[in-house]
Amino acid sequence: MTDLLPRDVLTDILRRVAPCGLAISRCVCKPWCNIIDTHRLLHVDLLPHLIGGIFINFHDLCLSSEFFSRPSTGPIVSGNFNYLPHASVVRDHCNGLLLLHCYAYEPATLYYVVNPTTQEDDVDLGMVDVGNLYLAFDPTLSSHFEVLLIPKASASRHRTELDPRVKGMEWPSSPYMLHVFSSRAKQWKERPFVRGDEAAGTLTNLRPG
Amino acid sequence: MAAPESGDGNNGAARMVTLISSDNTRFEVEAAAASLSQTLQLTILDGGGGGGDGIPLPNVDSATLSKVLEYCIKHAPAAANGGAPNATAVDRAELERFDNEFVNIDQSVLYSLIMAAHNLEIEGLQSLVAKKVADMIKGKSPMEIRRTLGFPDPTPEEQAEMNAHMLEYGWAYE
Repeated sequence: MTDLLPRDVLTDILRRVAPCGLAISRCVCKPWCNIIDTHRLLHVDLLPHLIGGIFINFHDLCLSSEFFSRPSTGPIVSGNFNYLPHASVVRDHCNGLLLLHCYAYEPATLYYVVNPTTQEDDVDLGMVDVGNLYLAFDPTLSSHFEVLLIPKASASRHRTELDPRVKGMEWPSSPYMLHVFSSRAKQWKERPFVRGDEAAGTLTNLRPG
Repeated sequence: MAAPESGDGNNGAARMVTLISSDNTRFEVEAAAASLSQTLQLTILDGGGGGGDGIPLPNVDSATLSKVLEYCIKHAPAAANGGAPNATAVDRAELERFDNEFVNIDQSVLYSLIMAAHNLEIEGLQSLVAKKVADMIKGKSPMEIRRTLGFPDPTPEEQAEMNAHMLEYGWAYE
């Protein structure tokens, strides 16, 4: 039936096929493949994610992350980051990107964001303050990623007397300033975030006894 | 001669137009229903299709035209309300039920409808039939799609090409 349809009618039909179906439709015959490619109908980034493998952190053993994969015909992912200067542990991941923490004595903290599929365009996050890092990456919106640094709350780390000026202060404060690394700007910047809910308490009553 | 201002004729009766299929069958239908076709709308606005004239449709046979008009008559009231933004949920559910039933047809009929919807530029019907074909593709392997849509069996070259394409994105088919 469809080989009798004019090209623009067939295009209109294929336009309505979901990404998975389009990926398959590309294989049906040459004319279909041509239409899908010429009109850029297939958005690969909207295809469901394929699990190429998993990284496992053996926390008790203080080793690098180990990569496990299944034999598959999909894109080949490598867990080998030997080309990085130090052994590394996966700290976070988001939509195919990995945030690696590399063991090194000097400087003490080295972080990289890498793409295990391409093994290209590693990004060195440079000097990083103490805290937990989280990776944010959505390839359907942008090819750039961001890393958020959530500082460790110093109020609970030191059992010294609180400065009277901050005693009644709400925690976390709002707006809360976070360090954000943008791969677009290739640098860290402070960015304010507004708390969406009630404060957890004041600095005074949040301190451990 | 000036065209009538509105589709409604005298005495509250709706203005009628006549459509003539490729096999010379005459269909009398309300102008509002026929106007769902962008192609016909211009002629009708110019005052054509009334009286003994009739609008010839050399590309549409009577079986297909009667099916197309069934769709137009059902959808005309909602279209007159500007896509019926204030239609009740019941009305919309009824139209949806009608649409589902409407495209539950043989492929040869579906093919004629696709071509007619395209030639007559009936937007709602175009998307309805296109969606029907898209649904027929959904969840099938390339080979199943070929069989469903009546493609001939692939030549060895075509088969090789299909296999190569499958390696690229075929994993999307699980």
